[in-house]
Amino acid sequence: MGNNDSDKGMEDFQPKGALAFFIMMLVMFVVIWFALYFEILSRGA
Amino acid sequence: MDKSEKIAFTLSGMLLILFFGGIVYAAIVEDIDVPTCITNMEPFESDTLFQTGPDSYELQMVARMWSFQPSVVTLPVGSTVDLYVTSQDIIHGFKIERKNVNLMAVPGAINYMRVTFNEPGEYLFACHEFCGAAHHTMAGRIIIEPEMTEGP
Amino acid sequence: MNSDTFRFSKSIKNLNSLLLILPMVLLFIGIYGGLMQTMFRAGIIQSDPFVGGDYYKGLTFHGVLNAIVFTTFFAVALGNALIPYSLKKHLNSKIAWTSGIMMLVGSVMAAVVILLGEATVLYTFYPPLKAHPLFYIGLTLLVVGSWLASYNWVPMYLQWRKENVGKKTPLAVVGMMTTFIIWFIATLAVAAEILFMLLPWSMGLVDEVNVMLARTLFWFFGHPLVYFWLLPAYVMYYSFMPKIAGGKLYSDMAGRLVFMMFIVFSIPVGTHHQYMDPAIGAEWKLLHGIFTFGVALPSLITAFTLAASLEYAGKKRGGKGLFGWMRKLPYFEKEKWFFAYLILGLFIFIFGGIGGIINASYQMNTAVHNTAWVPGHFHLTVAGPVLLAFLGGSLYLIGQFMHKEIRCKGWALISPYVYTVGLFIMSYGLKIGGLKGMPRRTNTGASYANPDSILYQQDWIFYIDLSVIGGVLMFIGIIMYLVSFFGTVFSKSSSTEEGAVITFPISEPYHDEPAKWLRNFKPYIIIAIILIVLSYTPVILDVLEATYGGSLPYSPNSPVPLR
Repeated sequence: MGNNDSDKGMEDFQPKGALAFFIMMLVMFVVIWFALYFEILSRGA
Repeated sequence: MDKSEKIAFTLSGMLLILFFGGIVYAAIVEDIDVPTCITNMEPFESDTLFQTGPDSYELQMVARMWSFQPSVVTLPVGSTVDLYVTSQDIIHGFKIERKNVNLMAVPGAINYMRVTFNEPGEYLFACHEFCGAAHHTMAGRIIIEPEMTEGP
Repeated sequence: MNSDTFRFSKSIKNLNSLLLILPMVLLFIGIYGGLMQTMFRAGIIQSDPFVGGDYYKGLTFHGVLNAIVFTTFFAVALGNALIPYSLKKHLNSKIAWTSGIMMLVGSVMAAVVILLGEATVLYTFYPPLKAHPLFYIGLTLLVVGSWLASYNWVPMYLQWRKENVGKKTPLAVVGMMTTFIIWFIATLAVAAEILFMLLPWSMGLVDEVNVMLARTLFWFFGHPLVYFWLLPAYVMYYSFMPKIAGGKLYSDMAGRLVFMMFIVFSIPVGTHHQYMDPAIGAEWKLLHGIFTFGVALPSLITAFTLAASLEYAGKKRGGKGLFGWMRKLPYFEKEKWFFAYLILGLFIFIFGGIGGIINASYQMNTAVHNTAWVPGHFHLTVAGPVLLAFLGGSLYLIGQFMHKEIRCKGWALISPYVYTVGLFIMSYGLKIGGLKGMPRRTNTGASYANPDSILYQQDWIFYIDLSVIGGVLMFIGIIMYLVSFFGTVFSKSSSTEEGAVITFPISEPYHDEPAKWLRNFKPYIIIAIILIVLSYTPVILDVLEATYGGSLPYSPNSPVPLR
């Protein structure tokens, strides 16, 4: 499993893809959460 | 902590603050809340329904193995109900479908929620806490009639 | 490097193997119960064809064996493995064996009374439903046994700290200690509930219990229990997964911060399970809700850190562009079967996570509380990431402790995929059904899903049927896993050498900041205790003030109290 010798080209690694994925996940969270939230509001007090 | 981590952390915090804002708005402006602690109500052992105003009623509901009393409630459209629920034996659950009413019926405590019915129709309420062998048969209905026919 | 391996004593290897194998048998019984649940709910069966009894008995052993017994054993086995391994110190095998035997005896005791139908109280055992005293005694033995196991680790940890001043404690050790710090604090409440309320009451020494107080103590324990399940999975995500994927853990400090945040926020949150309860002020419920949002933060940080670690691995394996790394991960490599268990769990947890935030969102809980949504949700957490990580971990550990090559790796690799597909189908059915009003913990097959019943609810049927299809797929997935697990257990050992070494795939960090402020548990435990006192004092006072009378014990079969 270990191939720690081949770290070449990874010195300036920036997790841009992970950040993009994370933001997409949060956007999906907002969509799902508000879908239910407006359902609650429509059920009234 | 590097820049991307800081962004992720900040966005997570903002997400939760956004949700919290939604909760506060629904509670304060829309008056949709969770049940609170009731101490001004005398314990009751049998069910009662009476009118407290032109469109308002008080319903004291008793849950027991394996029925709600009353199990059918008929009210005119537009009724606001002060709903008190307790249990005579073990824990039961009371949820009215399509409404924001969901109450645990616990022996030794009284649960309360106010609810207004603006849409006519039948609303099922089913016991949703395990209460023994016939738990799945414990249910009832609130029937909201389109317009007043007779006194409830 | 020598530090990759450790020689465990024969006795500890045997103990750890036992702690993995016996719960696997109990897990199978529980999972069989789970399959039957879906059949009952759809009205396909009216009584259990093999074990006998009704839906509720099956639901009890499904919950107790899978969620309480299996998880506790695995957490202990993982600690017994990773703490000696990471600190290079030996366990006290007498204490370890005593703890293991207590847990085994307790679990078997509880399982037997449940299977005899003497404890049909579900895994929350709310009074005034009463179980046989041996059920409570069995659970107590399980919990106390697990405490004992963790006491065994404390002197090892303290000694290591003394010998390694200025060094960081290995992250896996921090994670396992965190798990058991939370477990210990949380189980104090349920121990009080059982020992001072339920056990004397079930034995007839005390007549009545305060049901609301018992419920509140249960949920003091009930939510941190969730983190007791989740954190061993997190330990494997942080420690193992980046290495298996061929990369590094993106940030060591993030891992440490996450564990400390769990200590702080795991416990003062339990009342969010009681949003719909009487006798607790709404303002205190909201406070618990705010803390629950706090405990969502470490999981969000984890999602990012692990994604970044996987991106590192994927890029190293040649992934290009913004998302190319996702395609380069070892999803279907037979030799890296463990990766599938971890990555699928994480994927499932995206949905489990947002479901959890919805449940915690105060009045939004009204729409979901005690509906089928709730089991739909927690199957995406405890029966998703937790179960898959624990199954993968069990298979890896058994291979190491018995020195056996994993058998039927193809089955082991495909199993989590089959399971995950089934899980999504079942949970979708339960969640949408729940939003339509379908209650949880209810034998719908005998009423709401029965066309002959006056309670028949036609619009629930589709969702109930989905959960059957999903449940069957999940069951098939588990059977595939068990073929590999027991195939490995009963295979010939690959090494007969007495002192064969054990190794775990421990990831190196990419960013390794000193993080001096995250090196000591003490300040975080103190903050946790302060928050617990602040959040629970008003709740307990409300409960004591607003409740009246006490409750006699009941059997689930009669509306008349037992005495």
